Amino acid sequence: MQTDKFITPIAHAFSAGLGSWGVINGMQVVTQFVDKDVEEIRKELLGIADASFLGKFGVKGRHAAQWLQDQGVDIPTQSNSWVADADGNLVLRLGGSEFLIEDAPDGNLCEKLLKADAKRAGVYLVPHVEASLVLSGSAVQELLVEVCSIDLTRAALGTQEVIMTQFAGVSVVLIHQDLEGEARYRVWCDSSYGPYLWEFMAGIASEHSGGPIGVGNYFSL
Amino acid sequence: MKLLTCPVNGTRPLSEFVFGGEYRVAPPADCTDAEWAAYVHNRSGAPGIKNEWWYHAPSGTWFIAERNTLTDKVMRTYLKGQEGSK
Amino acid sequence: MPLRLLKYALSKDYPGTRFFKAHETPKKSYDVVIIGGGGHGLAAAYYLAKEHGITNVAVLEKGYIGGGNTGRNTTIVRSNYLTPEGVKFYDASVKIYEGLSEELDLNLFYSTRGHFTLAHTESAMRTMRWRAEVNKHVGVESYVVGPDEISKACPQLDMSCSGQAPILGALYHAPGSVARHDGVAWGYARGADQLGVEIFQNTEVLGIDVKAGKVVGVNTNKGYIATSKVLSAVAGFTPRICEMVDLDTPIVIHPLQACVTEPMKPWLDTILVSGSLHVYVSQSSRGELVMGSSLDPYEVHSTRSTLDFVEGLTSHMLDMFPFLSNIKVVRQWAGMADMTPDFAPIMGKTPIEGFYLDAGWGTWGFKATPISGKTMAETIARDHAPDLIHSFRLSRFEDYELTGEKGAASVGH
Ligand SMILES: Cc1cc2nc3c(=O)[nH]c(=O)nc-3n(C[C@H](O)[C@H](O)[C@H](O)COP(=O)(O)OP(=O)(O)OC[C@H]3O[C@@H](n4cnc5c(N)ncnc54)[C@H](O)[C@@H]3O)c2cc1C
Repeated sequence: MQTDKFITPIAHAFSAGLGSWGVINGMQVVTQFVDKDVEEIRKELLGIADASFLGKFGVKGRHAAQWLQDQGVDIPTQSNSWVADADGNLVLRLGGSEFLIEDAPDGNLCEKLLKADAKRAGVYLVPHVEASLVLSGSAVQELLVEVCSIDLTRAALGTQEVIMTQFAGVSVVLIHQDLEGEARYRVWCDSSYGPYLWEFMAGIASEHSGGPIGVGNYFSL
Repeated sequence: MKLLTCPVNGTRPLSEFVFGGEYRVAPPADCTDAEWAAYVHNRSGAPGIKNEWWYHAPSGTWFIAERNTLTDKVMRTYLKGQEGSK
Repeated sequence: MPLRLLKYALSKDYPGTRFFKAHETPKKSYDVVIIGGGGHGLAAAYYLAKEHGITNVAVLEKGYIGGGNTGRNTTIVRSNYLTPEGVKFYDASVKIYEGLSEELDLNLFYSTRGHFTLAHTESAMRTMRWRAEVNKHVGVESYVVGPDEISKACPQLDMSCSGQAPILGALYHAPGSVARHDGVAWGYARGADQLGVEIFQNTEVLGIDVKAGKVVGVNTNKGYIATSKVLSAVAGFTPRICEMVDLDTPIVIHPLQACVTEPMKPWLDTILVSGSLHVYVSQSSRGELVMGSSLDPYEVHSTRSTLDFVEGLTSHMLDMFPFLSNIKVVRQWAGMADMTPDFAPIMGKTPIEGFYLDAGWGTWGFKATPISGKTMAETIARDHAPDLIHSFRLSRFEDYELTGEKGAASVGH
């Protein structure tokens, strides 16, 4: 779907010569920041990874829900909630009538939807090029309370809740996901704010002996 | 920290919101020039309970808040067209 | 110790003369009633008496004089506006200010500092060049300067603003000044009082009596006063007064906040404004940094302060002056700014005969105190507004002839 001309929207936050770069899903990303063992320790404490290469698809409008169902996509019934299908693709319902879909690392749902006929009244495609991040670790709440003024603990969030709020002044979409026995937060923000938010959160992660890690720590690629 | 309740996303710090001015109804299209100019420029500036547009920036939600502009107390918030539902 | 002070210390009664007589009960009628004992109302009273011989005038103030925005502003006086009409008008005010301490026989601590409006982007530079050209055309001393000159005038300034917003240049305005705001109110009050004007504090106007489209009197908490001419000079209270006469205006009220640091030795002798960083700062004669920002983002009729304001302001101050990180903010406050859509005032006659408006002073009216007093006095005396304030008339909105000053007034006040 993507060509290798793409570079992660976080790129401006990475100094030259940092880590090792690679191409995932047609996007240039940093695949490893430091030694494997150090990354593993970071992940335990407070890891932050760049998952912006995952395919995304957006649709909104009066009939968007129906249209998605017609394409065979399971959608969350409540506003501001999300579901994952059997392949791990995420379907987020943003408010009542807007949807953001993100592919699993090996998924191609978004490509399929892009090709589908969406020229129907009440169905409008919304291009998505967000920066997409993963956060986890024992100190992740310390980071969240520094960047956000609402309670984002596991207990405060419903299991399938989508939260739209601000991190350090930047609008973000957030979910909490238990995956592979691990509690992770997924965060999306406008790509132009990606480097700022990355620097800000990576800085806090470092204060807690965590830091940036390759996304391979979260997804088998 | 001052809080405001978005009818869709719940109670959030005021910093997540943008003020959109008073909710106003335009005069009919065949109004006089003077009526139109008054609609374009004039505002009901005196303090009181007003219906105002507010915008929840992270989610892009426009809604209406009923607020006392003297005390800054918000009586209720609702989506346009769903005034009676709360 | 000055002799005068010694005299106070040794005397049982108060030996000094009061600034103005403490009138309690208003007369049954006056030629002119002025609502609002801020700088504007008092200056209008002074010039009515001094230049037009109209001395049967009452100034009604619901609190104490200068307790409104006059005593809350950050005292910046300048004339580097964007429209030729604005530049001419504010320049006339600056010229009066320069001789005002002498005229009112009161030290107003009028201090000409020079004023830099910093530009951090190319588009801001373009506005600075535009303002400089308009200013020069009208004969006001403003020109665009580069980073070197700014650095020389203020070596403490981090020219990169912590790497966030490097300074590309500035509009320099030589006459930019600060003054003692209470002094201005008190000086005009004394001047007006000496010429026969009566000033009433704790006197609130509760209603305006209009018959057949003409003003005939005002109701106050001290009774009815008959008059055929009323001037409303109440800044943040303007919509409430206009409601009394059923007059619609574009004015909306937003709080404007300011704060000061603890005193320091003098180090900043110019006035600095940054539109991009939303701050402006000068150092007062007491050594405090006087700092302010743009308007609060929504309508409130209150002078409450917020923590958001100081947090936002100080973070930007630290971008400009990282060395201030240990300095404390010791006071903050707010005033109610009467905002207009074009950032220009509303002055002159209204559709109601005998009801004159001096309003829409928003965040920028302290500098205009002398000239607005003078021109409003003339408007009332002749029932005709002078050309200098033609562009500020209320009817400009109906005529779609707005006087766009936003580019020169939204952060630097
Ligand atoms: C924080 C802040 C910073 C500012 N900085 C600057 C600056 O740097 N430079 C600049 O030029 N301008 C500045 N301004 C704007 C400036 O302060 C005002 O525009 C100006 O002082 C208005 O003066 P005034 O006399 O019209 O109003 P005010 O001084 O507000 O006087 C109005 C008076 O009317 C009285 N009143 C109201 N209703 C009634 C009633 N019903 N009956 C009787 N009395 C009544 C009030 O009590 C008040 O005393 C600033 C304002 C604020 C709030």
